[in-house]
Amino acid sequence: MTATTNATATATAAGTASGGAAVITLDHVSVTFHERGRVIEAVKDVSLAVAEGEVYGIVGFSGAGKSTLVRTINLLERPTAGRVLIDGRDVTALTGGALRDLRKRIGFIFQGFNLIGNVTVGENIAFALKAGGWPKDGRKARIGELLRLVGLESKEDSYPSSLSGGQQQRVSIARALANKPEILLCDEATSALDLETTEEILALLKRINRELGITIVFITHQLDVAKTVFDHVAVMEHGRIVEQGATFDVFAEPAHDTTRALVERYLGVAVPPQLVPALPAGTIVELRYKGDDALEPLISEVARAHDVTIDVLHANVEYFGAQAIGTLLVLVSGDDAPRAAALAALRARVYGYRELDRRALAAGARDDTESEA
Amino acid sequence: MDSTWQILHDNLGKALADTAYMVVVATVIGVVLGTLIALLLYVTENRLFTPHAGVNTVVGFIVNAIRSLPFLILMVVLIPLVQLLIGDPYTPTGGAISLSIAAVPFFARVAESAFSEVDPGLLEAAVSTGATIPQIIVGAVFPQALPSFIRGVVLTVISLIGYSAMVGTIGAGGIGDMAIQYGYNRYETGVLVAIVVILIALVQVIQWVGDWAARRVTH
Repeated sequence: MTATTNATATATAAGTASGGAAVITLDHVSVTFHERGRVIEAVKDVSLAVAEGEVYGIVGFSGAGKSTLVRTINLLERPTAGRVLIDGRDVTALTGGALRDLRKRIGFIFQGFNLIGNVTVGENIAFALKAGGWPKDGRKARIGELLRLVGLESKEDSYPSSLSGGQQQRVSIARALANKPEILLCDEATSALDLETTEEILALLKRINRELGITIVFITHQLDVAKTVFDHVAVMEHGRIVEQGATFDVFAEPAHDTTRALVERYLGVAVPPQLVPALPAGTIVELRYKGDDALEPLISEVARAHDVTIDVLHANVEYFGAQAIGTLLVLVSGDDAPRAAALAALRARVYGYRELDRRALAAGARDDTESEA
Repeated sequence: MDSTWQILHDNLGKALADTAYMVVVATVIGVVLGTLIALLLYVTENRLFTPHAGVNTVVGFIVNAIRSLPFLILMVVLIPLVQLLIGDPYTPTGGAISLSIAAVPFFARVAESAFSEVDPGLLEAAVSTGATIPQIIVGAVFPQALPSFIRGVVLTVISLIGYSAMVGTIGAGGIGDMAIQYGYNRYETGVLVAIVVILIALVQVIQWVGDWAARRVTH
């Protein structure tokens, strides 16, 4: 159940995947660079619509054009073709004061934080407030308010270099929110952070999304981030969006090879190659199931009914919001006929079924071919 | 020996004052105008500001043209101009004018490179706040470029002290003039040694103060 490219956004700002009014609409946007005589098509004919108040994710391998795409939204990168609409208004050709006013409504946070290193945390935020035209006496209070929001009350007079990566990203979030934007763009905002800090930053962004109603567009190659916070997701490859839809749907039933490769890499389970030769004879199968289907009863039921042995080699459950995707690697052994019947029974009960090649497993390679960007 | 002390006593104060006058005037003019030209080059070069290949190329060419002349030659070339401006080119003010004309493009390149070192990601962040170009220059580019900028001022002052000795050779005054007149033309080795020591000490102190200041503004 995944919407295909270009299906959601047509020429107007009308429809989004979730049915709400689109805050951001990209309408057949392309970005082409000319670099030393070479033509690089970073973004090719991308259309998408982001609904008000949602967290919209764009995932893909590095070099897919995600960063260029997100930069078209606040026109850091101007589309060479197509239109950018914010709240239904075409902003593609804005310049000067009108463009600056638009940017004040769109916060932006980056992988590298991009704080002004030689001035204090307070002055970093004051920079954005000055841009937003805040009077001097109003700034002080607003800085305090923003630092409280991101949990860094005591750091106003610190310099960025004295802060941890997570703290620096909090400062950059405070700076991005300074002028009360409606939209927050995040470009690999957690990719430079460790796992724990990533979770803290995601929780903060989620809170901002919920409490302040700010629409978030988040670019990442980390599927952990995708499954934790995205409502909708678009998968990008070679400058195109190859698949988009509700996050759970896209990851549960990836329609495109790139999505499958990403999901495989993330959900895929593996047996240590050196253990494979020691496994008893039989068929190794990867089963994938959705939601709360408990597979344990199914497995024992199938094993009993067909008189085969089913060993669970590896199991993994990932939650996408409230919904789960489980992956189970089992070894089915027994005589040929009952084994075939058991496999058919299993196949009928799961949405993802794949027999794995023993030799490939032993060689340590996954038997799927991944298309790397 | 007596004559060495006598010469130093009679001339050193005035010579140092003339050098200081020429170097300070040229530094101030060089830093102010050089910074403005550097900003013009910087904003017309960077695609996030107001890219303009024409302006950038023309201004860059003029800066390079002046810089490609060795100072000794530039000084000679400028003599008629200085004459036109103040009448007598062989005075500290005449020297200050030629030094300033050399200092402006020199510092323009120094400042431009200080600005160019500022992380492009930081510029994207600054532009994304909706800030105007002057706000970005003052609030983001300048604080980040300040350490390099200060080192550039030091480099310029030290180069100008060297150049000021050259304007001395054509009689514009200063300690260069004194070194040539007494140390070289009159074989007063003591005077020459004293001036060498003063120059070394002066340059060391300026370098030390500059490094200290640059460290102070780096966080």
